[in-house]
Amino acid sequence: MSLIPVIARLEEKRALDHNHSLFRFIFKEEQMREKFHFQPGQFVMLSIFGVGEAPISITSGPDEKGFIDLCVRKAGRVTTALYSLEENGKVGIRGPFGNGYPVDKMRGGNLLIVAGGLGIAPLRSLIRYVLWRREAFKEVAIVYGTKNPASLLFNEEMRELVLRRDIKCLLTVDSAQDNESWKGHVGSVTDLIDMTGMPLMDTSVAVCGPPGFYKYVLEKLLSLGCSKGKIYMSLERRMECGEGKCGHCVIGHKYTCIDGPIFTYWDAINLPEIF
Amino acid sequence: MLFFTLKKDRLPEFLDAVDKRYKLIVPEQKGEKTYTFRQYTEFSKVSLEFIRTIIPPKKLIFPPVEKLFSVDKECRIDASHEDEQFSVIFGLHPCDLHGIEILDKAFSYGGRDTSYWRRRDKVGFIGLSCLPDKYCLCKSMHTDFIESVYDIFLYTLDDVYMVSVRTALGDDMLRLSPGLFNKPTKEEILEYKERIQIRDSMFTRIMDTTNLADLLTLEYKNDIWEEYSKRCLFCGSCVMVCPTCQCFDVYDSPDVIAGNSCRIRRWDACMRKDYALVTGGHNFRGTRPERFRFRYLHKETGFGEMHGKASCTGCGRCSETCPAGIDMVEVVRRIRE
Ligand SMILES: Cc1cc2nc3c(=O)[nH]c(=O)nc-3n(C[C@H](O)[C@H](O)[C@H](O)COP(=O)(O)OP(=O)(O)OC[C@H]3O[C@@H](n4cnc5c(N)ncnc54)[C@H](O)[C@@H]3O)c2cc1C
Ligand code: SF4
Ligand code: SF4
Ligand code: FES
Repeated sequence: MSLIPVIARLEEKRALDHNHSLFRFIFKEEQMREKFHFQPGQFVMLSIFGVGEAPISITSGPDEKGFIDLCVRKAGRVTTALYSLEENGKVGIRGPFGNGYPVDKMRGGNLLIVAGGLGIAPLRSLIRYVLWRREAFKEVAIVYGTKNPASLLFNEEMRELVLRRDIKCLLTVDSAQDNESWKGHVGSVTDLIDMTGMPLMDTSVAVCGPPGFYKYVLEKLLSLGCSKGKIYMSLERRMECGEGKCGHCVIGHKYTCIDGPIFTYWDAINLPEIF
Repeated sequence: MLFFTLKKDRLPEFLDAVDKRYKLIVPEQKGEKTYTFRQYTEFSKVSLEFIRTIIPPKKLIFPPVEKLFSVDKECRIDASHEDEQFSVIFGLHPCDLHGIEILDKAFSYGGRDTSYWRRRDKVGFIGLSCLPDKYCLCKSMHTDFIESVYDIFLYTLDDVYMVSVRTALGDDMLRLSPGLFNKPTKEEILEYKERIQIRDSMFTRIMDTTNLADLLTLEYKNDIWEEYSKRCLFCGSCVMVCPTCQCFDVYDSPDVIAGNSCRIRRWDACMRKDYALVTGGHNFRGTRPERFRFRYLHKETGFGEMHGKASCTGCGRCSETCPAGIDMVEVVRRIRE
């Protein structure tokens, strides 16, 4: 463990909406490209030298080799500097960090993925993992909600998922306003959870979204009989090191960066300081 | 563990010999009542009677500000560093040795921190026994003696030091001046036993730590946190002087003209307002009582699940330093009421 990053090159950037873009990075050293293995739900510390570092989830799938994709919201100093980086510009990357989703435990059963807004970033990696080995899971459903059609990230990809027959993917927006082309649902993701028709007693559920989002989703999941031990939520805290050393991400007595960021709902409610 | 005795008046010879071979760091008097760890110059400056230094010896292994690497315009990272000389720190009391042990665990949890261990692997320790003052809380924290970490430990008796040699490095140091060390006599062993008893009876400050982790968790919502957080100035002094506080910040310091930059890590304090602040303005520990309570829970329950014990060594620095007169023992007594 060291706080020294390796160098990667910005291969490509693609705007997803007005303040979210997808960035593809390729490690400078070939060896690193081979060596870099990760689990869905893990994150990296991204450096813009001279500006600083920020934790960002890996949004590409673990089976896609040679590059990593990050979906980044323009938020503060580091992320804004990233937006002004030209293609082929260099960044530093450390990681992967965090526990990731317990995919080995999830395999063999039903899986429900519940995303809100930018929460899709780590879940997209899980979705890609699942699609790569679809037969390893029983029923799979994805529900994804955003504010409005324009802020639906990975728009085309999501629409392709909706058309697939081997998974059920449902999209919703809080309000479609005057967007006539929106054919999807308008309303809360909790409606979509009902609409999947999935029996939730023995289903693993991966939830990620903005802070307010969890409350409704968790209530809904519990009312449908989900086990607290099978609901996996991703928690966000301030992070300076990603390695369990700097202390900033501590919740009660757990380090979000190494004991998390994925916690079961049961583990989360047992953390002092959480609610 | 091997035991020897060293005549008190031969200590200068021993330290001189250690200083010739290693970089020797010793406690010295700084102000009227303040002490600090510094590089050894001459024996007359070494303080043998000090109780605690203001800043704990952790600063020698985990510096307050540390450059991690520099990087140039082409993003070439230079993480090289001067190869440090092996140092030996003399004069650590049991609490400070426990502090090192706790830091060792903290900087290993989830993987070894290379910057910490680079220095740590090049340090040896000569412990020194002490007598408690009114702030010492080590007996309550079970850190009043130490069986690990040190290489050599000196117990002060009347005319001699009882010398415990724990490691091969300790043995190396001893062999630098072999003629100085003798086998302990029956009388000296007896005197050593009496000294332990006397020291044990000198502790005036006692904190009942029975089931303390449970109590602090049960009293999570106690009004006391609110009450003390009104008195606390949130100056962070208690954190800065604590031998087991490990928190740091990481930031870049750009050199605009040269186009280079350095990445730095610097001690940070959980008492600070924006410690848990994230982009967008949400603060995960936004209120004063939350921050005050967090420090107590961290020190006294000590991430018990992780390290199995409290991360307070009872060194007394925080109570002695606090400008608002806030005292751990009093807070804990109130929690127990
Ligand atoms: C595990 C994890 C995964 C994340 N994944 C993504 C993602 O996929 N896409 C994305 O856009 N954002 C993600 N974030 C949030 C992202 O880290 C912050 O938006 C980012 O740190 C802002 O940095 P900044 O320098 O632009 O902002 P500034 O406000 O200038 O931040 C200064 C510094 O504070 C710290 N910090 C501030 N906000 C946060 C925060 N929310 N979380 C952690 N540290 C913070 C960082 O060290 C940062 O460098 C994730 C956060 C965590 C903890
Ligand atoms: S030293 Fe005292 S006043 Fe300062 S932060 Fe600590 S408890 Fe508060
Ligand atoms: S909390 Fe106070 S008494 Fe305990 S180790 Fe830290 S400074 Fe010493
Ligand atoms: S980010 Fe530093 S301890 Fe978790």
